[in-house]
Amino acid sequence: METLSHSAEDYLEAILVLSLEKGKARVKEVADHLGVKKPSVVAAVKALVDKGLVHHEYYGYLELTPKGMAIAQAVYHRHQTLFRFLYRILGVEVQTAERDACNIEHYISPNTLERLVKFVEFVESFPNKERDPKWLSHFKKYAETGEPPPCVGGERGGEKVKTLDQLKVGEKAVVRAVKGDPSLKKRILVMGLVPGTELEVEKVAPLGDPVDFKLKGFHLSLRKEEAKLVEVEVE
Amino acid sequence: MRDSEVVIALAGNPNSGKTTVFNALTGARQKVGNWPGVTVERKEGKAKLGDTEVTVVDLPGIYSLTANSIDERIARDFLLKERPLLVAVVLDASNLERNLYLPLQLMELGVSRLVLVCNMMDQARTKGLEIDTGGLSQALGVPIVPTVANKGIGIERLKSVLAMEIARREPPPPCPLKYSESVEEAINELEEAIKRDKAFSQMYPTRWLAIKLLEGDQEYLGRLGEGNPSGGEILARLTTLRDKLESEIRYDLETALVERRYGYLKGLVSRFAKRKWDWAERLSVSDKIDRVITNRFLGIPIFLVLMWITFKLTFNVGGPIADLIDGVFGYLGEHVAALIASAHGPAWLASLVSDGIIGGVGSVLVFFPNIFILFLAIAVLEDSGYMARGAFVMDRFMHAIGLHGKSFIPMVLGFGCNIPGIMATRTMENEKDRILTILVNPLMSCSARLPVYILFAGALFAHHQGTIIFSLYMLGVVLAIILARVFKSLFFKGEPAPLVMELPPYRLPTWKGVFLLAWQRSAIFIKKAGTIIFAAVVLVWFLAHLPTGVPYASQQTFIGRLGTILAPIMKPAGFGFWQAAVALFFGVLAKEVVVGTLGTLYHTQEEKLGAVIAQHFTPLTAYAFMVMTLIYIPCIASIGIIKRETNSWKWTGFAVGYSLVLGWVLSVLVYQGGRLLGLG
Repeated sequence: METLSHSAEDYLEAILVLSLEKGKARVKEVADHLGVKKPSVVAAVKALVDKGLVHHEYYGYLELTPKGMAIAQAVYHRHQTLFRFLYRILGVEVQTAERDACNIEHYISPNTLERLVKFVEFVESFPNKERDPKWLSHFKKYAETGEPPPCVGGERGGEKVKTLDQLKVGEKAVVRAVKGDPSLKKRILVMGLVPGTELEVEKVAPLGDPVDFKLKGFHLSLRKEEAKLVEVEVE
Repeated sequence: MRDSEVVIALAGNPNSGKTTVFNALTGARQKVGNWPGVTVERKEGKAKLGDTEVTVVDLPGIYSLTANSIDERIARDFLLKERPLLVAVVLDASNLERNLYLPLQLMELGVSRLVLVCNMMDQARTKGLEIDTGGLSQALGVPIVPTVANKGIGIERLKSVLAMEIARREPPPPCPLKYSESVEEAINELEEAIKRDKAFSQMYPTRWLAIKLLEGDQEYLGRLGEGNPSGGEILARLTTLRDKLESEIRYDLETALVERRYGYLKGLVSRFAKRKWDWAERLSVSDKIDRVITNRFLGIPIFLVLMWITFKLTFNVGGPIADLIDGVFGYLGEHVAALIASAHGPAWLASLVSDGIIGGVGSVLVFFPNIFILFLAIAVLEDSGYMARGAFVMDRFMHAIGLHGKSFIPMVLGFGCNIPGIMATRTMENEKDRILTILVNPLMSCSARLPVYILFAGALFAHHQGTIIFSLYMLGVVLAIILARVFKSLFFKGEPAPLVMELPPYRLPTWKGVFLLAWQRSAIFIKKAGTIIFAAVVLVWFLAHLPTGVPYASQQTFIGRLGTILAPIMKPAGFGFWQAAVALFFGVLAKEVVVGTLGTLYHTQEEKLGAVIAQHFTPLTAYAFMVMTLIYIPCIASIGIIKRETNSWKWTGFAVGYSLVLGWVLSVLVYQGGRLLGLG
C-alpha cells in the first residue's frame, strides 16, 4: 500500500463512511464531515483522482476506485479498532475516544496496531457479549474508584483459591498451580493437572480418602495428601 | 541388518489397549520373561509384516518419559537407550489429550520414528467423538492408524504402515511443538553450551537435553554433575536462563513447559476430535457403574464379596484339581516305585524317584491349578478396570497400616496360599510397597496350616476348637499389621508412595486376553520357582534318608540328628523333643506336612494321632506349637517365590530369618507367659 499523507487517508475514510451511511458522498458532505472548507476538499480530491483512488463524477458524486476502497477500508478498520479499544475497553467517553482514535491512527506503527487489533478481538471473543469479562470489569471499577482488584488478597470476585483436598463432591474448579517436591509435582503435572485445566470432584472413597477427580475426560484419584499440593480456583 | 533384528517397541498409557494391540500383532508367538534384574514382565513377540518378520516388544504402560516406578523406568530406559527404529504408540481414542502426551514427548526426544495407533475407535464413536485421524496425522507429521484391536479392525492396515515406516529408514520428523519465543531462545542458548560438552551431548539429542534441564529434571541434572568438567558451565548458564524466564512467565518453568505441551495438545484435539453431541452432560456407563461399585456404603462390601469370590474360586475350583494332580502323582510314584522294585532296583532308588523326584515335582505342580485360577480371576479384575477401584476403596485402611491400597488383595489371598498372594503383588507399582507386602504376606495364615491347627486344637481344646483356630488367624493379621509398620519405619523410611492413580473406564475383558495373561503369569511360576522348590525337596529327601541303612525319617537320619540338635532350642517353648523339631523341619516343605511327619515319627495313623498328641503335649505347649507353626518360616515354595519376586537373596533371607526369630520368641512367650499365669 502506498503511503499517503494523513489527510489523504482521512478523505478516503470520510468518503467510505459517507457512502456507507448515505449511499453517496459529495464534496460538500465530505467538507461537513471533516469540518474543513469546500475548496480544500476539492484540492484534496483532485490529488486522489490523480492517484487513481477516487472517481469524481461530473455531478459531484465521489466514488472510491477498488484501490481507493482497499485503503479506505484498512484505515476505517484501524480507526474502528482504536475507537473500540479506547471506548469499550479503556472506558474513555465517546467523543474523546472518537477524536483520539483519529489522532492515534496516523502515528501508530503497523506492529503495535496489529497487536492492538488482536487484543480487541481477544477481549471481544468472550462468549458472553453482553457482559465484560471479569478482569475487565475489575479494571473499570479500578479506573473509576481506585479500588484494587479483589484477587490480590488471594480471593477473587466470586472465585476462591483453595487446594484440591478442600473441594466437595460435585464441585468444579480450575487448576492454578501444583506444588510439592519436584518428582511428585512432575507426576501430577504430566497426568494433565496443568494450570487452566478444569476438573470436577467425582467421588470420595468410602473411608474418606482418596478422592477421585474427573478431568480431560478421564478419572484420576489422589490421596488428600497429594490433592493438597494442587491449588485451584473455584467459581 | 537382518530384518528379524528390527525391533518395534509398543508403548502407550496404561489401559490404552496396548496389550490387545500386541496380541493382535503377534498372535500367540510371544515370549514372556522378565526384564533383567527386576520382576517386571517383559513381553516380546514376532510379527509378520508382509515378507519381513520383526520383533515387537510390549513395554509397560507409561504416561510420560519421567519414570516413577520400576515398570515406568524400564519402558523409559528402553525408549531412551535402546532407541528402537520404530515406536508404535497406542492411544485410547476417547482420551486423546492425555494419551498424546507420551508421543509428543517421544517426538521431542526425536530418536525413533513413530506410528500412532488410535485404538478403541468404536468406543470413542459411541461417546460421540468424531476423530479426524488424517488431519491429526498431518498436523503431527506422523502416521496414525485407527484401530479396534479387540475386534481385529485396522490391524492389517497397521501392519502395512509399520512395514512402510521400517522401509523408510529415515530420521524421525521434527517435533511440531514450539515453545514461546523466549523459551525457544533459552533452549537454543542452552543447546550451544551443551554441545561444547562432548560427553553430555552424546547422551541424547541436545534439544531434548536442553528442555529436560530447563524443566529441572533431577535425572538429567544428576548426570550433569557426574564428572563433567564443563558441567559447571552448563549449570551456570541454566541457572541464569531459568531465573530470567521464570521472572517473565507466571509459573515456574517446569509447570510452564508441561502446560505448553498440554496447551498444544488441547488445541490439536479440539481441532481434530469433534464431539457430535455432548456426552459430558450424560453420565457415561462407566460412571454409572462406579456410582455403585465405589459407593460410600456399598464400596467396601462389594470389594469384600469380590475378594471372597476370588478366594472361593481359587481354592474351591482349584482345590479338587489340585487333589487330582496330587492323586496322579501319588499313583505315579507308587507305580514307579513298584516298577523299580520289580526290576530288582535298589530300594533307595525307588524311594528317590517316587518320594523325591515324582513327589517333589508333584509338590510344585499341585499349586498350579490354584495359581492359574487365581491369575485368571486377577486378570478379569485387572482387564475390567476393577483392580484400580479395589485400591481406591481400600487405600485409606491399608495406608494407615503402612501399606498401599493395592496390598490388600495379596494379603487376602495369603489366607488361601501365600504363593499366589505373593505373586499378586505384581500389580503394585511401587517397589518398596511391594517388598513390604511380600515380607509380611507369610503371616497370613494359609490353608496349609489349618490341618495342623485342627489336629492340635481338636486334641487339646476340644470345646474351644473354633475360638483357638480363629485366635491364630487373628494373631497372624495383627502381627502382619505391626510388622508392616515396623519394617516400614526400619527399611522403607521416608515419604509413603504417593497415590496418583487413574481409574480406567470399565471394559468387558476378552477371554483370549484374560487366558493369555493368566497362562503367561502362571507359567513363570512353574518354570522358575519350580527349579528352586524342586531342588529343595530333593535335598530334604536325601537328609531324611541318609546315612544308608537307617529307617526313613528316624532319629538316626541326618534330619533326625538335626532334630535332636534343634530340640533343645525349642525347650523354652515347651516342646523340646526331637519329633517336634523334625516335624517343624519337614513343615518347611509345606506346613501340612507337620501332621504327616508327626504321624510317621509317632508310628501311628492319622486318625489316632490326636490321642497320641494329647499325651505328648499340654494345652499350653500345643498352643505354643501352633503359634510356631503359624509364624516360624515360609514354606519352601513361598521362599522360592519370595526370592523370585523380590529378586534378592537378602530379602529372602530376611523373610526366613525374621519369621524364625519371631516364631521362636512368640512361642516361648506363650509358654513361659502361660506358665507364669499358672496355665502350665
